[in-house]
Amino acid sequence: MLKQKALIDVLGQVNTSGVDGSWLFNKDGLLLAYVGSEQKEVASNVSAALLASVWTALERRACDLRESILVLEDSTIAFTLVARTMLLAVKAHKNADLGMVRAKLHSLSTYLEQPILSISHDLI
Amino acid sequence: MSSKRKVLLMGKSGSGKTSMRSIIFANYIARDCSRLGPTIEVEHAHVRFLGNMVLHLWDCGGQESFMENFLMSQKDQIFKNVQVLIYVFDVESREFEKDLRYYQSCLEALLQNSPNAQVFCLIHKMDLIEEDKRDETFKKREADVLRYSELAATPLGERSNAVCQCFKSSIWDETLYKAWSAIVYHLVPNVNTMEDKLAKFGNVLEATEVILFERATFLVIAHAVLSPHKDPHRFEKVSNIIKQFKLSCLKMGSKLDSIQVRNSRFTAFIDTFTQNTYVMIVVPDGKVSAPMITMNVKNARKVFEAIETKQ
Repeated sequence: MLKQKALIDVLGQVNTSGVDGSWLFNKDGLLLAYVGSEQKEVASNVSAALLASVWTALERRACDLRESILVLEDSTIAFTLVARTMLLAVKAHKNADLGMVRAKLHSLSTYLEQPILSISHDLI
Repeated sequence: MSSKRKVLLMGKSGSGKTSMRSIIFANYIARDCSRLGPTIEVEHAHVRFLGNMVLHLWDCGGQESFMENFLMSQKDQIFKNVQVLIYVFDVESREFEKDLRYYQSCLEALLQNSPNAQVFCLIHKMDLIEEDKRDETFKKREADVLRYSELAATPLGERSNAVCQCFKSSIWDETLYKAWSAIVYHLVPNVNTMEDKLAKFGNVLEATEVILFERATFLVIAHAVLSPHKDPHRFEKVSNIIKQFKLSCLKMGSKLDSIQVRNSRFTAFIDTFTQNTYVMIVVPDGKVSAPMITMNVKNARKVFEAIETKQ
């Protein structure tokens, strides 16, 4: 079982010093949780779907894709695979240190890996 | 393990026994029932309920000549090994006293032949009574029925289950589902385990309500209410509405899989659950993530499948 509140608590922990949003969604682009400042132009579920399609497009080109970083006009989005079926993404301000953003992304994904694996493993 | 339960459906002719059976178990809709003719003698129907439980419905014709037969020559055959008797009264009947006397004789025969049977009475066709008089009429009829039940039961000593439960019902609204859900509730083993698990499941999801529906009939089998709600008839309304919707889906050649309803104050999910059930989850949050709920439902499925197979 996955508790929405608990998941939101965990995701919210990375939202410090420049990082202002984190998503967890599956490869189909369906959003499980978003924590962070509500974006003005794009709703969080739409951005999750966009990121998922970017991921699948990249995955087709590169085998064994681990992580990707999008550098945008005013922000950076880093995302990675968790538990084979889910994607974890964090969004940071463009001035944020990229190494810090990656470190946060990876420690969060390691933390989530086992729990999510155990619940999604049952489903297959 | 398959368990067979004999369910007797009795009552005066034209009181609506076959109609309600057709709506609940044979996917009729209420207005189709005008096509039904009178039942001759006994119609047997085997209904699979919750997968491995078979309800053996004996729909007994209600004309007086049949009734006499049932009570005299076929008494043993009819009233042996009965688990449930459902007796249907027509609320508008002009000869209610006579109906009651028949009821008393049936009950006596039943108690002699299957002393452990449970008895339920339906005061049917409530839609014919004006809305503000329904409660009053029902109370009066119920008192009569209970009085006659006691009359039949007292000569046989102390028996608590003969003093039956009465329900008001009508095929035109949700009361039919309420009555049948209550009856079925008594037939399903493990209901308590299921409700325990449902409550735990609801806690994890932070839901206000989790309801389990039987797949074919859409009757409520079990429910967990985690915070009170003001409408006591909501389950039956949902049963009624979703069943109609499911039938329309079938007409289009497609199968109902899941439904999601969302507004700013709540989200409701109806999803296929185990082989024999649908589950409905109400979460008091308009923004809750649907994939998360679906994932949790899938995870819970195994636990409930295990409970069902244990039956």
